Amino acid sequence: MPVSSTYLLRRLLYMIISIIGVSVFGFILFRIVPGDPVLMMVSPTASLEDIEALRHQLGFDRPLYIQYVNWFRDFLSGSFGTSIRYNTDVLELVTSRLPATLELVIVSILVAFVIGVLIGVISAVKSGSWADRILTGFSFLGFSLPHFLWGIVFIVIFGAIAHLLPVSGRIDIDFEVTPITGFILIDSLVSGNLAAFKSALAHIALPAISLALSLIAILHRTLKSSMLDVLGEDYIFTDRMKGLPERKIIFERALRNALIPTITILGVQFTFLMGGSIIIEYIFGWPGMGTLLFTAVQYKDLPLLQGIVMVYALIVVLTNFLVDLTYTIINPKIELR
Amino acid sequence: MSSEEFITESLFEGFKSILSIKVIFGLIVLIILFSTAILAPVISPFDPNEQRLNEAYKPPFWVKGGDKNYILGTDSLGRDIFSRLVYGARVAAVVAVVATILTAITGILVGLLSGFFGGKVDQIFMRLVDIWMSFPPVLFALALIAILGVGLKNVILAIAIIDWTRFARVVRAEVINIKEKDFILADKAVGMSNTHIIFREILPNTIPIIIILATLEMSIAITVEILLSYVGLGVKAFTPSWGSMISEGLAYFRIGWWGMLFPMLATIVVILGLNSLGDGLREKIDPRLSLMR
Repeated sequence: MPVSSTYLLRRLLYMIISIIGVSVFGFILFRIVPGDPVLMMVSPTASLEDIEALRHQLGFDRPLYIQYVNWFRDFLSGSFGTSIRYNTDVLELVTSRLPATLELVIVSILVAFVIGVLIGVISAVKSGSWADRILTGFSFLGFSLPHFLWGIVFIVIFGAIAHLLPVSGRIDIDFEVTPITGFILIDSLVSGNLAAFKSALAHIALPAISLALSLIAILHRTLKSSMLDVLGEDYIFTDRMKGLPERKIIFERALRNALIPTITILGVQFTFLMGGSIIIEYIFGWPGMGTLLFTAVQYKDLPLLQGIVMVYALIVVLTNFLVDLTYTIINPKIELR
Repeated sequence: MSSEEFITESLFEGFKSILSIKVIFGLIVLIILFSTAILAPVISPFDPNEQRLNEAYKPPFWVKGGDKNYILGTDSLGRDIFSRLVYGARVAAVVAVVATILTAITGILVGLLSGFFGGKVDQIFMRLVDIWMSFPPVLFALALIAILGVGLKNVILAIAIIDWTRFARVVRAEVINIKEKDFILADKAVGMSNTHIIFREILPNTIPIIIILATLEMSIAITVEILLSYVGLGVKAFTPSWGSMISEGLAYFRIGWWGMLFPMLATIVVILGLNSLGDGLREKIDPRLSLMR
């Protein structure tokens, strides 16, 4: 279904405005440092010459607008400067950590989708039953408590008390998986290393579930209400009259239509989980962009920090754009704004 | 009344009572939190920072080896956990109130102006909100703390800088709804000033929604403070915060579970209480309102 071109253009324009806005914002944010940003970055023992050399290297001795123009030009060409802590290109550092973060977020979404749909269907079909009430209670818990609290709860229960699952890292250090895609689950499967795959799966379990709980709750609520709507439709009534088996009615006829509003939620939630993954990575020692961010904060590595902030923001802007587009494609009657 | 009607009727009544249970539970938690915060010096038996290294790792009094003086035990530095918990409530309450007031003022102002004037003003404000919301809150908070430095004031400032958008968006939508109502059109027709209409006529009508938002904002503010203190970027060292207590307690979890359990429980109860209050109020006041993130 073609999307109206004026809408597409306007949405594209919004996205460009957002990207420019984000870049201005990211620039200003790191120039409002109280005192001298250069002093923040050097070691306390640095000589005056070292400080001035760094100031010149960062271009901080130039007028502000020139600094911004230079920064925006570099930003467009993907050059985010050099990390002070690692002395490596910022973009290189960030992209090397990106697959780990994406793997965590995507696995969380998959887990949330499977569980969320399952309990959503149960709640709708058995609406008002004890099962429904218990699930609704769990949903409220899952939605109310922040990701990091779940993370800590799981570390204590499964890690410290029961010793069931690993609580730190992506895989046991004994395994060596040659990176192909950067997604360790896929790479270990492709190279046929089942033991490594199992280890990676065990490592991702707790962080992914901690991150997934809020989304499970949201999917549960949304799917329950849309299932209840669909189950009240005439065609479901007709199906029942025709004597179709209940299982077939629920999973094939009703669920398919009820899933549409659920799927549009996933896009928005992707950006939300990207944000949540930061603290989950910290808690579980997951070597993604989130832990890199903490290193940047700890070492006051401003170029690295700025690079990471911009990459997260760009991912959010692009995702929102794609979500709006798919939304209008799925449902062309709705013109957003 | 048929039996079927009776069942739906009683289900409905049951549903309604669940709602009020949510609100009552939330209010009780809120009252306990604030009275603990205000009465902290009276309630706590010890100075929360007083160290007695030879009394370290004492379990709660009901556990073997416990000491009646330290009802919830002591931490790795021999500080009284109960006293730290009580003073931690003070930090949480201060953050909740001050940060919520600051975010509310900014957000409500933007929402009122954006919704009332529409057009260019609205466009600019809403683009600004979009840009703001492109930065994941945790990332935003960490970046701000990296720049501003740690400490209670900066934690509150960071929350205020980040979270006004929530108020702005919801209040704006509400204002757009209200401003087409007859009584506002009548005010305009008789020549009332915009300032008068915005602050005297529209603002009072948004108060129910503002109360719901403020309740949820308090829970968010407390969460952010605890999260930042947990990672060591919140309050300064030695200020008792539930977040830093949890991370310290995790470090000596094998020696004593009590160090992390009590601040964890306090955090969970307070966050659940505030969410349940917000959710319960929303269901009662404005069921259409969706506050899903």
